[in-house]
Amino acid sequence: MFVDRYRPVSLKNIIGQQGEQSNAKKLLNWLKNWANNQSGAKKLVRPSPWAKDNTGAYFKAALLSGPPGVGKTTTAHLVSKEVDFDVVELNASDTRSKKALSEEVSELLSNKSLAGYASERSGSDATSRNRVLLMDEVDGMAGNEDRGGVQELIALIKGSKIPIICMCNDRNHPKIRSLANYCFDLRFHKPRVEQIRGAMMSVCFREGIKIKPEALDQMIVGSNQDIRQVLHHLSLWSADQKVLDSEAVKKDSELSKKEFKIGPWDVCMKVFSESAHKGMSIHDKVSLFFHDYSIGPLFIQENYLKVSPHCARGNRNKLLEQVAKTAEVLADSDIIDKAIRTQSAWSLLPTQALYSSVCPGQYMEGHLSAQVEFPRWLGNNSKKNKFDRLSQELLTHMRLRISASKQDIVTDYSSRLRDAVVTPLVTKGSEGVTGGCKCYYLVHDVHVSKSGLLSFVKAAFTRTLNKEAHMTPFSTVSIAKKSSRVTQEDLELLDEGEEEEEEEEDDDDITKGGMIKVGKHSQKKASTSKGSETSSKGKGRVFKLNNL
Amino acid sequence: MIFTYSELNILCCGDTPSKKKLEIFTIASNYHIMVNPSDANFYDRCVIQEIIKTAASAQQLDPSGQREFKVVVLTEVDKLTKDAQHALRRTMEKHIGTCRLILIANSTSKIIPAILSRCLGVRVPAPTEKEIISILQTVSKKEGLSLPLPLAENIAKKSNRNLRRALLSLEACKTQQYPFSPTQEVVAPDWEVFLRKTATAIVQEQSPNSLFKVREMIYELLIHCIPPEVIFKGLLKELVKNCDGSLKCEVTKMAAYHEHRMQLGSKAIYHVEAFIAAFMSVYKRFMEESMSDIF
Repeated sequence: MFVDRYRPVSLKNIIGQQGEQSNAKKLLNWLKNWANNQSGAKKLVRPSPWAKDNTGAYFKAALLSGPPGVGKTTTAHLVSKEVDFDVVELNASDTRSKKALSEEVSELLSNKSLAGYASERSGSDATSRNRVLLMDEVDGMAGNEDRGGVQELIALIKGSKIPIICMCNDRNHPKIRSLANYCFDLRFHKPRVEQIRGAMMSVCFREGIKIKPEALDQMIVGSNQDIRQVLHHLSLWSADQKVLDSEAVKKDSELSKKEFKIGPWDVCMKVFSESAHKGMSIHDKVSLFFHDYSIGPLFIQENYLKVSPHCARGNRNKLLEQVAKTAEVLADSDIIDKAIRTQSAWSLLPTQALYSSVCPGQYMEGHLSAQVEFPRWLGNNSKKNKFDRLSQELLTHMRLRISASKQDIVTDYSSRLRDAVVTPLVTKGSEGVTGGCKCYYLVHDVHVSKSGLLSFVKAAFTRTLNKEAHMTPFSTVSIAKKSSRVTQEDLELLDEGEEEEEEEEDDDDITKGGMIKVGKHSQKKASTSKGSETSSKGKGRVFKLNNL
Repeated sequence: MIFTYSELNILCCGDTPSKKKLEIFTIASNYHIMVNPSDANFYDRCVIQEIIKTAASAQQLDPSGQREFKVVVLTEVDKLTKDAQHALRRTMEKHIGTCRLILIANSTSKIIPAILSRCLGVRVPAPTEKEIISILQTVSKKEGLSLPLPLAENIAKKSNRNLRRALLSLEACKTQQYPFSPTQEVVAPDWEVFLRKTATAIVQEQSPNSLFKVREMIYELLIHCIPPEVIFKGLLKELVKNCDGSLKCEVTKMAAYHEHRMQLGSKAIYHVEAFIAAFMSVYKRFMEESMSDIF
């Protein structure tokens, strides 16, 4: 195989890593100075994440990131060789779960004697040789077997006595981002076509393959500047025929074009960017959608307003027209989405791709004028569900007295209820405890949990409610379960017959309330720190709109 | 409304909140069950299938002492999913001997025709402003308050013929200031104020940037469980105030179109935004044309 035959043997041979500012050089310096930097003699400051950092002195680990086949692993190996470090490599084929990491690796890392022991057995005299841990393909540490692996790796890095080099493809993966905070961040970019071409030509010469430069270029572009891929293709074709013309190569490189995954951020960029659209067929555009069809459309919806479409340059009417068109196709895509999810009509996915990604991209073709943002729909939707749950709870308590539906509770009752029940509590403290909640059969746990009251007021409120609790002739738990309406006459019957039982049930309620209160304390603090006014914190249903 | 002897199921519909439920409460016996299946969201079909079917299919134990059938009241039927409604239609017919259903809904438009045809429809109108005023006065008398007529009229007008809202605003007015002054302001619910603010923002500036800000505001409303239908209605009401005759029709048509599509889809914000974007585009052109007419 050419790949192994022509693997770079020294740092100078790595394509695109010869310069003084190259990643290989930086890694080399970092590794050389690692022992000095981490000896504890020097006081290290954490560099700001935006500052250009060429030494990485602060970090105990390095993170090499970049597309596949650009030479990350090769660089790491060669650099370690250059500074005479032993390499311990763990890649995706080793299990790297939390447990496995902590058991196997941590011993390896913190124990110097083990290194000596191992090398003694191998018969070499380098008992004091340094070791470096290579964690290859860390972005593969996400599956079920590797659960908790990244967290463990971070913990390892913190306590490590030897340098660690991590490698990954997708630098923006959320898991990797947390890792990157602890690593000297080195990003590998794809080498330019000319750089690869030069090296490949010499390979071809040595192997006696005749290939036209343009055919080679085709091949390089077709494989997405992946050096390893190019070498593989060369060796494959050379076995077949020794003369390669550009036509055949073009055809093959089209076919062999590597399918590589890109994250939703990049998808969103690509969907709207005019330059990326050049040379893309409609099928390519559709395939953008399929990189992640569950979250991609949300990204597009979140960000389409930030695109400046080139077709409407300077013309505000045209711009709004395009925006309106886009909004409408997005609404279309939502309808299709519902059909897909409720009727499992998955064959509609390509249609959805057209509506939620291709059409918006076409209408708004231009450039993004701001950063791609994470879709807010997700957060807002879960917030909405929370409020919905709260109002449902409120409704189950109040249903015995009022005939309103949930919607009425939200639109009509909520603000009035806040005024009537919670505002006196906030303003007057413990004297403001009213009987208002009693008449709506509100139980204090619901109530207290929803109000951001001072604790002593809360206690007074709870006490008063407990005193009155005997008046509540039934337990709310049973209402929730049966969800049937108990008529007034039934209530009176219950009142007389089950007084004793009710007391017990009330006790249950109180303990339940207590538990809820503990949980809500932190929430309260959080909202205070956000700086919202006490009064607006009143009920869970309180409309923050007041503050807006 | 002597439905106890009829052989039909009954469907009450009317604007929220008319006296639908109240009337049923007053007439219905102690032997009815009231269920609101739409509380269970999209599991409502299971509620219908399990609870109601079991309730309906069981015979009365002692037919001589009681009526020979049970009464089940279903509320918010228009919120039921289509699946649940289909589950209901068979149940309704099959167990007519042992069970009568009373369905309550705000509008019949979201109820499938199959159910409509199996019911005796009763439309309960919302109270008129006059009625509201007289009720407000009766209530104040009972509470020992003196309610000046202009204030009562104002409350009734602001309540949008919604008796519950009227009574609640009366109470709010009382906590705000008592004794009442005839010119006292009736505070609208926060969300209504906010919705109006949103509409103003739309009219003020038409650009992707402003649309983005409006989106945030709509999110805020949706988060607080304001139904998207209400948002559509409220926005439309405010927006058409700024339009002339022909544009009014167009905007209303747009709103109806997008509201309908919202029912077919699942994410309300997409459709509200599509409507607002369409409005902005149309309104901007309209404004520029009318400006150029002037000069």
